[in-house]
Amino acid sequence: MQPEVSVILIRENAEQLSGSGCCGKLEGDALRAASDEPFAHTRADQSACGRLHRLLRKNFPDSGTTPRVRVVTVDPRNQLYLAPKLWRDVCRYRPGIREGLKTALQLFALPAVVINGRVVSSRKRPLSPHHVLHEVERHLRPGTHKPSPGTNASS
Amino acid sequence: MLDNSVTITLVAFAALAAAYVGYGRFLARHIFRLDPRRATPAHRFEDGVDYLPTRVPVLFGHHFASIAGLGPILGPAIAVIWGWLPAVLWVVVGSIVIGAVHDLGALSVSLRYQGRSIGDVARELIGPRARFLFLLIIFFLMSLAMGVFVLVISQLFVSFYPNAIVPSIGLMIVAMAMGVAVYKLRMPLGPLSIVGVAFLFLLIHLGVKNPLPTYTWGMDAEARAALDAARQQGQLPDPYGAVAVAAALEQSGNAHAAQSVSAAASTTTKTWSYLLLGYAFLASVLPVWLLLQPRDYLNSYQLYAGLVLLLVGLLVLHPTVAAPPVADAEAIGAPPMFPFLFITIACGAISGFHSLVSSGTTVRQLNRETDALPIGYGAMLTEGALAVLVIMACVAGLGGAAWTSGGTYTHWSNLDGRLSTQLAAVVEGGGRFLSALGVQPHYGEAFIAVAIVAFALTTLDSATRLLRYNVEEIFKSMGLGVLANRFVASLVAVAGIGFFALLRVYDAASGAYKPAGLLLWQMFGTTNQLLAGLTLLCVSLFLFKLARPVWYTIVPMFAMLGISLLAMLINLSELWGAEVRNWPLIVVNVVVMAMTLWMVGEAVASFARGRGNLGLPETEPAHADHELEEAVATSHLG
Repeated sequence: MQPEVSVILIRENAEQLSGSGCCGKLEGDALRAASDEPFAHTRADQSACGRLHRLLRKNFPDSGTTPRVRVVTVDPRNQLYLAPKLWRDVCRYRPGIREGLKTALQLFALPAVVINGRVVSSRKRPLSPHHVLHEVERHLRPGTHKPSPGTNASS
Repeated sequence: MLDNSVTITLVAFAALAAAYVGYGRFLARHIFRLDPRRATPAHRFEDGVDYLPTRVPVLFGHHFASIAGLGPILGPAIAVIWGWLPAVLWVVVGSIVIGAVHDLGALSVSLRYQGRSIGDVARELIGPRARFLFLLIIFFLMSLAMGVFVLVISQLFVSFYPNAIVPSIGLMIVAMAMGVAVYKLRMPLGPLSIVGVAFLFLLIHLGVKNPLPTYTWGMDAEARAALDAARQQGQLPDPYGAVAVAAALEQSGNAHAAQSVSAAASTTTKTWSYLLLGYAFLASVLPVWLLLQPRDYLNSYQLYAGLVLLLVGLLVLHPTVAAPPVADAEAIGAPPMFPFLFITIACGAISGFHSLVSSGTTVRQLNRETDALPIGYGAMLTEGALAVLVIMACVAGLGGAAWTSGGTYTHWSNLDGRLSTQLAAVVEGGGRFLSALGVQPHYGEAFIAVAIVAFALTTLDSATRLLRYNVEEIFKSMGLGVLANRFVASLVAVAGIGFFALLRVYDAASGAYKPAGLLLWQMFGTTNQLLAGLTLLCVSLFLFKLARPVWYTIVPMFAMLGISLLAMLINLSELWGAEVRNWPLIVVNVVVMAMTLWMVGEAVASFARGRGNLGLPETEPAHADHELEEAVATSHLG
């Protein structure tokens, strides 16, 4: 069973991912001892996505074996998973040719939100909780959607 | 059958797969008792930031990219000199019964400690001294590894692949441009990645067409004129690496030019080493978004493309294995296979550093406890598979020349302790695999050489920064907080790396001083095994205190510590008995041995304290209905 709504939050983890093998990876314990915060800018995006993630989980909690809304957070460097996932969502939910191409070819800035194969974030307003919730509700209840009033990222 | 590289590879892969479904599941069910119903830290503290329930396919990609790198390439490329069979057997068996157990154990224990790092867990289980020991081991480990990498990159540039210089430096510029575009201008990721990869291939093309033999800059005018003339007449082998050029000039009777090339190569290699140390310092203080992070994207494409191309190339080419199954170590002048093979291949069979990755980020993203099996155990086996591919590139891809009289692998002295010779073997062997797919040999080799250099440079960049943090923490714990600032700590870090990179050892055979490359790699191997031993000790203690069987972790622990100690003792006796004693190496060897013995002492004391006192944030749930729990766990483990 597939979820009715598939949400992909695309943002980097505040750490290094590839290229160093295991020796010399800039992550975890080592960063805790750091006098400066090397990934401060990534951390900001990560926190914003985290708030969005919590908001989605709170508003659309899992019930039953198949969640109605599945939220996946992916690091864009993890292309081994991300690229096929985006293509799969485009094929499954068919958001239209233009939107589908935009998603499949990753024509979006980071951080990004993709709902049912459609990019809903934009460069100027990457993570608007109100907009994202509205989109999810629209997919769950086509025609009867009502945006959640007063929702903000700090919820 | 014993000379069919595809059969050997497939049998090795099958063994790894069988171990996953057999031994891996056994450990997960009966030893670590992973329970899918028990909430993981990702669920308990879910914040969408650090603690984030993540599905296996997502997390596997993340974790594998985090552990795979240059380590599983260099070690196997050296170790095949003892024959392909022991190398493959150690990679396969070592991964199954030690490396993957270590990774799974670190992940499982960290899960129970709410996602805390293995260093923290060590402090809890063993004592506060264990944390300091961790810091010391890591300092030595990274200084050694980075010293080796500086040496290897500079030698690759000068002695073997001058065609990798333009793409490697160009790639840094491309990465910086990408960094500005992604992080500052917020441009779309897809097209930028395509442009980045396109530039990568363009740079490789430029490099192949315009190799940069930098050693010629240090040659006298007469020798350079002779070299240019020979080059125009097509007498010198492309891409004009100093080793091949000197050999070709020697053969053509131009001894003066050959000597001049060798002398200039030595000086230029040293110059490159200083430049790379300068790069390490600069890169470690630059903002990460400018170079490190964007290069991450390009590296990940290179990693996956390299893996797929090597595998497909091997299957298409299916070359015959030219190496002997087992070589006579004495006859080829190599040190004894036991214990040296087991420390030469560290990553690829077991790596202590994996515990830091496993217990750092990955553990906080596990959706279910049982996911630790594919992530911890499975990813390590996949790294073992990568090491098998590297072995095949050397023993089959290189062809017979490397294994017949005068070839690279026919005598230990041919490896020359430089390590770049071995990497060049991987590059050449891998290039042949790629040529089976229609890629021209020069381009295939350049692609692999550039990927290796890019990995090494990234490691140098991030490890210097890590060393800086490590030094800062060591200064603080010694009450020298005033020295714990960015620039002083970076200088100390670079000095540590430079110490090993520029270290020379006296070679009795030639009566000259040579880089300590191979010796350093062995010391890196022993230190890495030491870190793995410390992690296995934590895991064993954890199991012991829960009254569970400890043999599956404690036997690998003693095996690794025993092998490391034996190797260090042999090295020490050789260093001590040498015509010219190398005191810096003797001191480092003694310090590493002392750390090992310290660790064994801590282990004995911890076990003597008896069971209980786990210091768990929450106690292990009582297994009232043990059979039912096992059944549930079993069903989720497939």
